[in-house]
Amino acid sequence: MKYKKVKRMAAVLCFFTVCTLTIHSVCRLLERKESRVEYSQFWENPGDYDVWLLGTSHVRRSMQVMELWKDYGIYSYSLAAASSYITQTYWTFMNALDYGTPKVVVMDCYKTGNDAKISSSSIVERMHTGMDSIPFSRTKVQMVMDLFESPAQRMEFLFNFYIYHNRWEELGPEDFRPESSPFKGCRIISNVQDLSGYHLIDQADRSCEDTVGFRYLRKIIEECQKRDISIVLTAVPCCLEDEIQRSMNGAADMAQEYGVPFLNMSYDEDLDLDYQVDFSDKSHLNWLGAQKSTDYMGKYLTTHYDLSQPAASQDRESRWGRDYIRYQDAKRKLLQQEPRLDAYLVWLSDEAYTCDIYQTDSQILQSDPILAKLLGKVHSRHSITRQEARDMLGKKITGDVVFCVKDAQHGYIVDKAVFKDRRRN
Amino acid sequence: MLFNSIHFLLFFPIVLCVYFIIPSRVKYIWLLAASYYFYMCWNAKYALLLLFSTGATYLSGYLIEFFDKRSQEKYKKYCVAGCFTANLMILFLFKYFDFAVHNINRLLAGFHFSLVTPSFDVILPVGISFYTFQALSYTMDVYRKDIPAEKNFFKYALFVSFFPQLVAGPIERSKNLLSQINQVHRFDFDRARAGFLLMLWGYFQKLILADRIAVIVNQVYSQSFDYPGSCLALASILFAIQIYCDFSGYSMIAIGASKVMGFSLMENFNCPYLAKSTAQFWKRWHISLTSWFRDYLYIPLGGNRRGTPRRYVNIMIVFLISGLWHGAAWTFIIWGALNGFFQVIGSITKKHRESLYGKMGLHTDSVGHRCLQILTTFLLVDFTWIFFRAESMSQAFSVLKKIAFSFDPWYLADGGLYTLGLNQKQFGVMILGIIILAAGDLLKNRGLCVSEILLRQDLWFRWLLFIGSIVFILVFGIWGAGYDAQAFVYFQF
Repeated sequence: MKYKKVKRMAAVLCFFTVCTLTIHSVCRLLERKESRVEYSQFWENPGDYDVWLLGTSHVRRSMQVMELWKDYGIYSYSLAAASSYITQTYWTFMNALDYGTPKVVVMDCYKTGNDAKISSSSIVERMHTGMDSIPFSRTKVQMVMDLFESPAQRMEFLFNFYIYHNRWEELGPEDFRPESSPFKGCRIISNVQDLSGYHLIDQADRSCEDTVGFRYLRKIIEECQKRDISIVLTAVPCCLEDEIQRSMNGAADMAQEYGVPFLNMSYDEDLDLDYQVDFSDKSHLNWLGAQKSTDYMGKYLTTHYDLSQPAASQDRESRWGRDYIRYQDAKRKLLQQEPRLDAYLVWLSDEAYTCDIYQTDSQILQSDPILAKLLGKVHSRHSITRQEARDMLGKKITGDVVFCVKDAQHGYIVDKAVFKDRRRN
Repeated sequence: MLFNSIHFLLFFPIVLCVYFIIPSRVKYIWLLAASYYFYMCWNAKYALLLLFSTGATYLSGYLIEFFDKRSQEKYKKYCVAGCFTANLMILFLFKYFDFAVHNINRLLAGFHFSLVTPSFDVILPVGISFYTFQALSYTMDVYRKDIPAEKNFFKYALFVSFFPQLVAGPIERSKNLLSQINQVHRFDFDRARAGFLLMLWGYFQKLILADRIAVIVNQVYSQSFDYPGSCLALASILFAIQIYCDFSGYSMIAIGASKVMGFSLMENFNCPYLAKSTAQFWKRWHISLTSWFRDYLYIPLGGNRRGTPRRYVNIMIVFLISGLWHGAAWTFIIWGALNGFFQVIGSITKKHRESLYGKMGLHTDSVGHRCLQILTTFLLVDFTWIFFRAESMSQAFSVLKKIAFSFDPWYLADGGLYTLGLNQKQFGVMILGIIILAAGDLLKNRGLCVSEILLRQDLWFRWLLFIGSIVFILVFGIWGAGYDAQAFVYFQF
């Protein structure tokens, strides 16, 4: 009798275990993959990264992790998330600290002026991209309890099956074989918006009100100092309202209070920003601008911090080498899929490419000052004749301009593109 | 606290675990506390009404026995009358007062009068119709000496407030439930497993079917003027399935949860849409309410013991009151009247129909004939459901008019089917669910117990099915963010 009871209990336990594992697998399958694609590489190997980039999409688009590695040997990861309030950034940081300790944290001070923990429901939806991949832990529970008041919202962030269980209708191949992003938390955009009329307020014009944003920034700084982690505060260039500029400038006071550096990049002439072509929109740098800000940050970090690698890091080196190849492939795809002429020229500024260009008599690339400027930024270009362009394309030319893009190192053709009226044919 | 809420999924296991750990003599106190907590999650203040009803009927039982010992029949009747009056007054006040005043004013408007009263704008206490009837049945049972009066007030309070069936039935009888409260309940694995299987079936009916179908029904009925008759007909048919799955689903969860704890509640639904007549339908639908009306209204009115015409009158009275029980609106009264009317007509024409079948040489036990009976019964019942679902009499008539004169079946064939609220995939899941439901009911109707068949299978197959069912309900069920947990339809009664 007792044996039968024990056997039954064991069977029940076994059943619940199998059931739980099955449900867990189904949860993972149905979950939206954006967060895992962006951040799973970090959570799987958090000790791999010496520099953590924190903040919003400003950081994601302006500081390119793979370029920092290639040019400066810096192993970093961007934990920045789109529209992330400083409260979310703080908690992402705290969760990450459960798994590893960086040498340097780069913290962007956009959103310091916000006086709320979270915003509207549309932002809450975007928060899933930043938070879904964070492993379940006590710190994650604390994060959710602090950020959200409503039980339903807490439920959806702690057990996201609550919102994803009906995604069965949207399942695609990427759900069954999700691949981590080669950009390591970053994004590259090639759009161009002319913001040359932008008014930058005086650097001394600042506000440091006691907002939720500033309070949580203070917590981040104090946590870094407690754990002996170097922190660099930044204000990545953007073209937003005066009030936002003031709050970003106001971070200087906090930096001074704690004795930490503050890089207010909008005012640093070393960056040599061109407001006509370096921005994709009011908030974000495009690939042209990102190359400058990444270069700037890379120089600063290597000058001020010891980010040298121990001898026995061959494994990490080769892993990052493979990741860099994936990164290059991904950038190539972006180029190959780019339908707009101005954005295409932005991609061509990459030193990985050389290109042969043929223009018809319309001389479209010289007809517009923006296009002309972008043409000037193309890394390596040669003019070719109409016949050469036809031979290259293998067909009649039906556009205003023809590009033949080659890999700068190996010379193979990366892309052939014909543009008519600024759109790819 | 809805059964399909996270709150209940946390509440029930806790109640269960503590229930089986604590000593037998205090188990009922724990269940009583849990039941009141369950009810107060809806609205804490209305627990006082539940307490009042409990107290009034408990006292009535006590007094009835007291007067019975002294052979004071007159005072026994006063007790019953007083108890019924007190409880039904409260029901009237919360449920029917505004309806009554509104209709009296309409009547008096013809004479240029109006009854000026303060509006009684209160939320209907959830489950009031159910627990009031359950408590009153106890009073009648004691009066009829079917059971002795319960001396322990807390055990009696548990009988009235037992949480699985408190807010939407089954309306239990004191003979059944009260005696079980006095029994010792120990954990039994097989019984618990059977109970969980019933709950699983209940969740399937509610989350996969009822709430999914509700999307179409709510959309079509809320914009009934914009849809052709074919859509309204489809929505009406689907409503029949929705209300069945919603109510039966709740009952299954209630019965299953009770079974896990060791309590056996009465069956409330028995494949009602496989009935071959409206009379048979009402023996299979909401069995606890139908039997309540039979035992406490129809039989006291004389039942079928006072001749056929009086029998028909009694049937009409019962169904009119049943309609009124469902809601304070003319649509419910008409719904009840129609059901009564169909029963009466069915009874009147029964001999003529049988004679006609005989003359036509029809085989009444053939599959074809049985299917025809089932289909006819379904259509008659579904006709009445239109009144049940419609917001008003004018909407009900408008729906019927459109079905009759503006049918336009091509609207559905031209892709209109997937514009009613569910896309093609969701519609497919709904159809699959209906097929599973129909298969389950067909097997049950043939006397086969599906759960027993499943439990006889090998372990791997059982686990595959159980885990598969749980995952199916979790993935395809209508719950979670973006959905308001659809309250069970019968909660409004």
